[in-house]
Amino acid sequence: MSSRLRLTAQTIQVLDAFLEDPEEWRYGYDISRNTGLKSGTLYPILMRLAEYRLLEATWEATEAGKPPRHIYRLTPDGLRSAREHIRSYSIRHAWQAALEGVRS
Amino acid sequence: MSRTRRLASRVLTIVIRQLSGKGQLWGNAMLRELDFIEGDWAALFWAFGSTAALCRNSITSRLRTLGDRRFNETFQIKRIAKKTTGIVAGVIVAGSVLALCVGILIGLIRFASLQQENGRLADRLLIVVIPETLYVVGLITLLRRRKSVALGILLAGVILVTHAIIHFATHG
Repeated sequence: MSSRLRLTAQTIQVLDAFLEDPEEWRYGYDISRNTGLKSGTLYPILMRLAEYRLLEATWEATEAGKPPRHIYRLTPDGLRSAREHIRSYSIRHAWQAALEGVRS
Repeated sequence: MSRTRRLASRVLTIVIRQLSGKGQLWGNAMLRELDFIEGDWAALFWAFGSTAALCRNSITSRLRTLGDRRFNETFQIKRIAKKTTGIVAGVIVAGSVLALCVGILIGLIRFASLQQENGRLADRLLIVVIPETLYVVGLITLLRRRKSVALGILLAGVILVTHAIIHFATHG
């Protein structure tokens, strides 16, 4: 399933943010601040990751009277997939940079 | 709460009301984050971005559902067509076997000097026993691999047996 995931630079950014501390649950706004992605870009990525079961989402109970907050974390599959994707993305990126260096 | 923030919240709430299922869940997640965004304008832009994301997601999932439905309909039609073709093929095969037997019988009557009693036996053997045996063998062989063709053969066999029963009942 994860092979069908569209790997944009923004998706890599999000996966990278999750990999900083894989065990930690994160809020949408915090991911947005860390990656610099706007909500219109970030949430479609989160939805896609959740759809492919690479991301688990749950509601965090808050103080009484206040509605719960949605939190996210990579699933074990997501963690494995994220590491693979980031590794292959870095290799591809390094190759492209080297090729451009040779051309110039 | 400032006017801008209220507007942001309202925009998102209106959009969420139009959604169903997962869209609504994600919408509520985005709406909840509004309370933690520093700055009213940032909150408003967050709401606009979220609205765009929710609309895009809603359109995509609707298109996907529509695509799935069309695929299912096409698949169903193809399945029915395949089954019908199989049954027709079975009937044709069974008909061909019967025609072959009738042809052989006619050939035997014309060219061989068969006696009346032997001719009657050959008649029964060729038109009833041989085709029926072939039908049963064909049916068992094809039942697992090509069910629809086997069904066609069964149909032709049933017609032939019915015809034979009526024939023997009326002519003795």
